[in-house]
Amino acid sequence: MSTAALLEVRDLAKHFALRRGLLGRPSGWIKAVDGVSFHVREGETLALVGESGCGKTTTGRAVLRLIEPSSGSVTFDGQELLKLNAGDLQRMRRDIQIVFQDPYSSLNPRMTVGNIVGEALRVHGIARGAELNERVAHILERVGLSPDFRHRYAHEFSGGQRQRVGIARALAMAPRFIVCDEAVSALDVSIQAQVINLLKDLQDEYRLAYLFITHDLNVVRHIAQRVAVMYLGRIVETAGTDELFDNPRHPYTRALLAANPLPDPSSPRPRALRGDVPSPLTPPPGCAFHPRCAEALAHCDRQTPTWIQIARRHGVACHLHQNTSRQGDDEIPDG
Amino acid sequence: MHAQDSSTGSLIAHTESPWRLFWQLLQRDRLAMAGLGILLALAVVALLGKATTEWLVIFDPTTVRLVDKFRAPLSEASALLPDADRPLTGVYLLGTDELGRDVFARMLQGSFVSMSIGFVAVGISIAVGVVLGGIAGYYGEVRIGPVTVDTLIMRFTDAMLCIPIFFLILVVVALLPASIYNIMIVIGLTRWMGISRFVRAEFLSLREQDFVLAARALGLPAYRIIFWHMMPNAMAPVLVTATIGVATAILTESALSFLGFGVQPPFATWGNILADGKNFIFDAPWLFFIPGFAIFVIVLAFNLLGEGMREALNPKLQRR
Ligand SMILES: Nc1ncnc2c1ncn2[C@@H]1O[C@H](COP(=O)(O)OP(=O)(O)OP(=O)(O)O)[C@@H](O)[C@H]1O
Ligand code: SF4
Ligand SMILES: [Mg+2]
Repeated sequence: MSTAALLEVRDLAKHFALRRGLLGRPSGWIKAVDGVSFHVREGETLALVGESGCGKTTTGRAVLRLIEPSSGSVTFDGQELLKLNAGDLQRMRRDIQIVFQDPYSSLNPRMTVGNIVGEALRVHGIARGAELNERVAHILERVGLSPDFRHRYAHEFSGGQRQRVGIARALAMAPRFIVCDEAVSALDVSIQAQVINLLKDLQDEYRLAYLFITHDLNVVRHIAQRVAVMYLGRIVETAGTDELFDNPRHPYTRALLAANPLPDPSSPRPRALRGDVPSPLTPPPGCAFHPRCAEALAHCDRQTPTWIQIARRHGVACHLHQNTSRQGDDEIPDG
Repeated sequence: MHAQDSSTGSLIAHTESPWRLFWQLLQRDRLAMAGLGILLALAVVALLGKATTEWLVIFDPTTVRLVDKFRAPLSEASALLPDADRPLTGVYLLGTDELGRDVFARMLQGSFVSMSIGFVAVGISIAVGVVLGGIAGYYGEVRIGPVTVDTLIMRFTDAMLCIPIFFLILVVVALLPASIYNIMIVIGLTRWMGISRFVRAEFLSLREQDFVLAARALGLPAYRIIFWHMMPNAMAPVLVTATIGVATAILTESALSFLGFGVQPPFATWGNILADGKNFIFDAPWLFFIPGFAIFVIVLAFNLLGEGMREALNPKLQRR
């Protein structure tokens, strides 16, 4: 597939100001996302993986401008989202939706399922009255819920059912791209599989593109065509899913894979990752991973590794691969 | 949630809606329910009081009967009184005051005035507090010059909190005519700070909640997000504060009356009945103790209900 990317993110950054003083002067910056680039094609799933706190959620929300990015560029279908005014942004939002991790806090406790799913259609004047009811019923059926559920409140449902309601809400606007932020992480394993299958079915049916944020590599195998691995606000490796699992190149990716064997309750989890993630407030100099890296070279703590495209669809930011580089022909992580 | 439940399956254990759960917990609180009962009864009394002392004058709070000054409760009216001036059954249920006015009729009239002062004043402070707190919480990051909207509003709130409110009210009342409306407005405009802080805090946490982010992602307009998604989820602590605030407002009015700055005649309030009565505390103690007891009861009832509501809304208790 070599269609143009539906979503193109370049050098996206979000720096949170730490504790503003009286005159609004920040005493420090949390570089939650610090120069992230990736793209997602139509009908494709890109998984964004990494440990807790590495900036996955912030990236997903910055793409939707639910958090205003500090800098960078996000183009969707050729349009620069970060330059849109409020009105145009609101129109654009119909194409880009989000499904959240927590099936409890993501649904308004004081609204019925029908209102949750149909609200945007009504408020935007897309459907009303009988037509609205019909569309809501149809969407609920499509995500595997009974249309009768629309008169009930979200708290009457189980986690998996609520997550389906969240998916239905996102689908109502007929989007082309959905950010799934840990969309199945809060669910029981058996239900995870059902929801993942639902997401895949919906993708096939509507040619949806997903940015699938997760820390669970087992889930990645099932849903993603490509993977981007994130560490401390930056992407350190991208590759096709099989390539990444079979031939991981970045030491961080290798450590993640080692720490995450195929689900087998009898084998104890090896702890391949030493130490904790450093604070994004004071990221280590050079390669941010060097304090934990088993293969660190002498200059890793001084020089920031540049992006290296080691194969056509496999990129990595690590000094180990400086020489294997097809000499950095492209600065964009490409998959 | 059971592991074996298919996520599409039928309804799992039917959990209660937040309001129903709140009501159930509140019902278990005897004291709060007693408070609620008293308040409902007093509300009925206040409405009947308004009707029977002003619209259809069955109990006349204004008639002066110089022959029947300082009659104790339950004493009979003098035979010298013209028929038109006699109380309903010929008995002064709660006695008479220094002008021979029927205390029962005055208390009835006062119940409506006192409660409306409480409710209107709290209504005003809710309106101000919710608007300011809501703006600070939702649009807080917007900057006006060097400061954010949030800073501006919250410093103003802090400044208001630093002023001893009662003296501010005294100053205002000394400058303005002490009409019942001015008293309501002054009390209302000086008691919103707690509410605005609550609402701001709720909005700040609601802003980050996924269902609010989802509403923004759907491109819903700000007013809809604020009033449909955030406000209903922020109102619970406001209602608790408001409940206790009604009691505070009634007390404030009483205190103002006591100092002679309160609602002026012809309106009777429990506060100004009490204030008049204090001059005759040894000769006619009922003039002091009857309104005093009424104020005590209503303030206690509002506080019991408010505390019960606070407990019932406590998420730790709700999860039991
Ligand atoms: N509003 C905020 N203000 C300040 N710091 C923030 C804010 N939101 C996130 N951060 C910080 O930014 C970093 C990245 O957070 P983010 O939630 O994006 O990580 P994540 O990869 O989604 O982690 P998780 O797996 O725990 O969800 C964290 O260190 C977090 O503390
Ligand atoms: S650049 Fe150096 S420290 Fe960073 S991952 Fe590669 S080898 Fe390890
Ligand atoms: Mg996250």
